Amino acid sequence: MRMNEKQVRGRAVARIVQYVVIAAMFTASGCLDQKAGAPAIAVENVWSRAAETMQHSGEHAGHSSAQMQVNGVVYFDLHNRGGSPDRLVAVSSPVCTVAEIHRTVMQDDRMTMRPIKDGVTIPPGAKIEFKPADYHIMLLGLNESLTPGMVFELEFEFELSGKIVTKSTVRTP
Amino acid sequence: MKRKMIRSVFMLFMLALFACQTDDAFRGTELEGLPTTDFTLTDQHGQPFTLSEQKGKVVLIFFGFSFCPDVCPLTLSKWKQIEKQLGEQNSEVEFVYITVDPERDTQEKLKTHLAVFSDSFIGLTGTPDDLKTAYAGYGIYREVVKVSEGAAGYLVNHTSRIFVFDRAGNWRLGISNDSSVEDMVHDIRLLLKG
Ligand SMILES: [Cu+2]
Repeated sequence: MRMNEKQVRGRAVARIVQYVVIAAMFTASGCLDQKAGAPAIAVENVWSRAAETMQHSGEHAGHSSAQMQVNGVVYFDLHNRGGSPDRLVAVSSPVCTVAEIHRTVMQDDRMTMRPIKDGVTIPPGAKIEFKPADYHIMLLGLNESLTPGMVFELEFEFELSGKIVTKSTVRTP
Repeated sequence: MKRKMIRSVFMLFMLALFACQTDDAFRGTELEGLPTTDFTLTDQHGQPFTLSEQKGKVVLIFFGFSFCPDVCPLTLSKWKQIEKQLGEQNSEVEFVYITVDPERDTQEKLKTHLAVFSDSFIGLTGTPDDLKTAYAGYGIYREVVKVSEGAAGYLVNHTSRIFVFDRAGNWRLGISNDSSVEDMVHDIRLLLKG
């Protein structure tokens, strides 16, 4: 089918309009993002359960110290007072070898604990509780005992907010 | 007038609530006709413990391990609160913790771990065969899982239900580990009465 000049021009105009609309939408979405603002993360009510590492190797014949490693735990609230979501991606602490984000799942009266490898997203305005039998940070391989009253350092890493250093207080179990 | 009516309706509602609170129904799951498996294990002081010898007492059993950082200590701290609430009746209740991690839960380890919560809690371990009898009798799920690459050691995923036995030694209730302390105390008191 052949088109006359007018039709061709009409199509070209239509296409330009289309591009302009798409470009405008992109810009608008950018504006919206800016309006929503950055995430504002607060790590609150941080505490750990007391845990005793074992110093007397004699008691545990047949077990390497690695096998006998004691694990600790950290609970807290993640509060996002900002306008866009953020994600907790990692935690570390000088008191342990590795810290992992875990979630305890109770199903059919079975307790299973799973590492949360993709991190935990905190939507804007939301508060996510890390609490017993739910999300928690596992401190794998404690270097020292966590005794009641003790305070130790933790470093949280968020996708957007970056690093937040805080302290955990050890409570009696 | 209207206010008075609202008040009396409210009072009635509170009374009904109160009635519910003092009812004679168990809040845990009642088990009927399930056989009670007897077992003999060794406690944290090296003394033998046989379930059938605990008749006359209400017995609570939880399967856990002392390297468990989250749910097991949570259960033990609930037990500690139950102990407090029971007061004098406590002498008629036995709190028993059976390890699902006999490799690491030595008598010594169980002793130090339980002492943090209460001196009256009983921590049991035993020979692989004796433990197997107890696990099998109560359908215990137990799975050893490796933790991250960076750290050594392992965790044990396991059954989290609390098993409750009446004074006659019968397996009577299964209480979910996330039940409130109040609900657990309620059921224990009900068993102590009957
Ligand atoms: Cu964990």
